[in-house]
Amino acid sequence: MEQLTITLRPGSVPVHFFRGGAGEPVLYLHHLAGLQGWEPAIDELATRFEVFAPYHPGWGPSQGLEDLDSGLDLVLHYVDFLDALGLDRVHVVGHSIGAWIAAELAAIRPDRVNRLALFTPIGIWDDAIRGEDPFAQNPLRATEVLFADPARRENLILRDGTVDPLENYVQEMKDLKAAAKFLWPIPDTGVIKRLPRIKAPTILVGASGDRVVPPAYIPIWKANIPGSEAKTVLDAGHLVNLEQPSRFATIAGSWFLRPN
Amino acid sequence: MKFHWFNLMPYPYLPDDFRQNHRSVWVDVDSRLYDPVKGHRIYHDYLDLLEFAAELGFDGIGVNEHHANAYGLMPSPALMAATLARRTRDVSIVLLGMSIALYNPPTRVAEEMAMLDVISGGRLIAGFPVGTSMDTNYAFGANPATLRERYQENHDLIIRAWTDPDVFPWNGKFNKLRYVNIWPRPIQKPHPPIWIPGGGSIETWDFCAERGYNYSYLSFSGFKRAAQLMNGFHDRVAELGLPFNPYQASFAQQIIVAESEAEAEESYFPHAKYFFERCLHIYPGFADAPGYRTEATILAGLKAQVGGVSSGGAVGKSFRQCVDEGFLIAGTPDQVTEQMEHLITSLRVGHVFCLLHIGDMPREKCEKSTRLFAEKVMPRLRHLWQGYEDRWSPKPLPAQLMAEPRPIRQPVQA
Repeated sequence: MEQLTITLRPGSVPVHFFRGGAGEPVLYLHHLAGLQGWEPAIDELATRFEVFAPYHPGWGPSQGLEDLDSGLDLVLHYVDFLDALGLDRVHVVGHSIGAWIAAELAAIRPDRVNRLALFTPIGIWDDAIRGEDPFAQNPLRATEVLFADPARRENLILRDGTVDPLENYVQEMKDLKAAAKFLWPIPDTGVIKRLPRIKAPTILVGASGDRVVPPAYIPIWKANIPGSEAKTVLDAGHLVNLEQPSRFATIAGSWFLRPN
Repeated sequence: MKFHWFNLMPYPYLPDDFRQNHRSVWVDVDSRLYDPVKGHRIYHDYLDLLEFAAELGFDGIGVNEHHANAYGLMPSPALMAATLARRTRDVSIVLLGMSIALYNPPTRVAEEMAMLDVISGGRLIAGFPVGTSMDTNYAFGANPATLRERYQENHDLIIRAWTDPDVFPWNGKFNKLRYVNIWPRPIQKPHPPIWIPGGGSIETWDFCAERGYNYSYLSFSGFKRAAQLMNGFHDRVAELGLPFNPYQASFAQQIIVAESEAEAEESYFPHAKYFFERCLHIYPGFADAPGYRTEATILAGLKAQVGGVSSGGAVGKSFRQCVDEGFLIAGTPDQVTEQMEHLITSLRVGHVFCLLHIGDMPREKCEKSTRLFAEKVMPRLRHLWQGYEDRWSPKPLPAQLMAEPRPIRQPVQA
C-alpha cells in the first residue's frame, strides 16, 4: 500500500489517495464521514484487486471543496482522476455518499465503469422513510448515528484514544461539512432519474442497522437500476465498511469477479 | 455612553416540565405549546415595553430575527420595527437584524430596511447577522457549507443596492438579477449604520474592523466571560492601525434593577431562571451544523453564539452565582451602576443592549425595573466615553421635516 497524491490539471490542488494490491482496478469511493486510512475492508479487497481509494475533495487532506458545486462536478472530478491515472475502465465500489457519486459516474460515463457495487447508497429521498438526520447530531458524538452499535464509534473512528479529541472533532466537522454541501438539508440529489442510464451490472447492499439510510431505500434503488441485484448485511449500520469489513470486501470482491 | 432597550420576546408559557419532556426550544419545539390568544396579548405587552423604554430616554429600541422557536417570537423583525417606527419619535430603531443570508433575493432586505429608514425619518440601525445555526441551517434549510459565502455575497449586493444610483446587473454565485434598482432609497447616506451581531466567530472581527462596522457581541454568558471576544475585536482594530473608538463595539447584558437586592432575587430572579432553563434549552444537534463555524473559529475554542456547549452555563446556579459570574447584573440602582461601569470600562463598549425583560417576566415588573434603570442608573453612566465621536448611531431628519402620525382616537368597541 502507498499513500499518493496526484494533480489533475496544472495549478489544481492535489488529490490524496491510497493505492494497493494487484489485479483488475477498483475505484473505492468513501462514505460521508471520510476514510479512516487504509481500512481493513480496503486491505482485504486489495488481496484480489488493485484498489484506488481517494479522499473526495474537502474530506481528509484533499482540498478543493469550494470548486465543486454539484454532483456533476464530482463526476467530472473522478473522470479526470481516472484519466490522470490512465485507468480506462474500472470496477467501482461506492459507499454512502460515495455510492451516490459512483451511481452518477456510471450513469453519465457508462464507458468507464465495469461492475458496480453500491453500499448504503444515499441520494434518494422518500418522505415515508426518513431515517435519522446525520447532520443534526450532538457535535461531540456526531458519527455515533452512523453505527448500528454506537459504542463501536469509539474503536473504529476514535482509534482508542490516540487521536486528540479536539482534532478529531474538527476533522469530523470538516468531513461532514463537505457531505452537507451536497446533501443539505434533504439528501435528494436527483440521481433517481439518471439511474436507468446505468449499464454496469450493479449490486445494492443495505445494512440492517442503518439508521441514516434505512434499508427500505434499497428496493427503490434496485427498481431504478436495470438488472440490479440486492443484498443486506446484518449487524451493521450506515458504515458497513467499518462494522463488517470482511462482509464488505467479500460482497464487493465476489461481485467484481463474477463474469459479465 | 448609549443605552438600548432590547427584548427577545420569549414565549412565557412554557410548561414547568419543559426541560425534562422536550428536547429543544428551537427547530422541533412542539407547536402545540403555543397559544395564539395569549400570543396576542404578549406581542402588545412586548411592543408596549419597547415604546415605554423609548419614552424613558433609552437611545435605541431593538428587535431581531429567530425562527421555529419559543426563545424569541420575531420571525420577521422588520414587522416589529415597522410598528415601532410609527409609534415612536426620536429613538433609534435597532434592527439587529435581518439574517441577510436567508433572503432570496437579498434586495428584499435592502428594500425593507430602506422603507423603515424612510418611515422612521432616518432612525434605523441596520443589523446584518449571520443568524444562529438553528435559524439558518435547520429552520430555513440554508446549507452550512456555503452559508458564510452567501452571507458575504448578500452583504455586497445590499450595500451596492443602497449606494449605486444606477440600475445594475448582479451576476453572483447565489443571486442572478438582471436589473437591480431598489425603491425607496434610505434617508441616511450612504446608508444606515451597519452593526454586525457576532457570537463566537473570529472572522467577524476582521469584517467589522476593516469595513468600519459596529461589532455587537451577543452572549448570555455575561460580561465577565466576554472579555476574550471583545478584546479580540479591539486587538484586531489596533493591529490594522485603526483608531480605538468604544462606539464601534456593543454588548448585550441581562439586567435586573430593584429597590433592594432581596427584591431582585426573590421577585425577579425566577424569571431569569425561566430564561436559562427553558429558553436556552437547545438540543446540541441543532446548535452547530457541520460547517456553520469555520475551522479557525473551532480551533480558537470559541463557543457558538447561543446554544452549543455554553447554553447551559447558568442552569442550576443561584442568584449570587449568576451575579458573581456576570450572567446577570442585578441589585439596587447603586449596585447595578457599579457593575455596569465595570462592564463598560472592562469591555470598552460605547453601546449596551440592556436586556431588562428576561424570560417570563410580567410587564409591570419589567416596567418598574426599566424605570429604575432609566432614572437612577443611566444618568450616572452617561459621562463615560466623553470625547469619542459616536459614528455608529443614526442621523435622523431634523425635527421640522419629521412627519407627525395621526394619533389613535377610536376606542375599541365592547
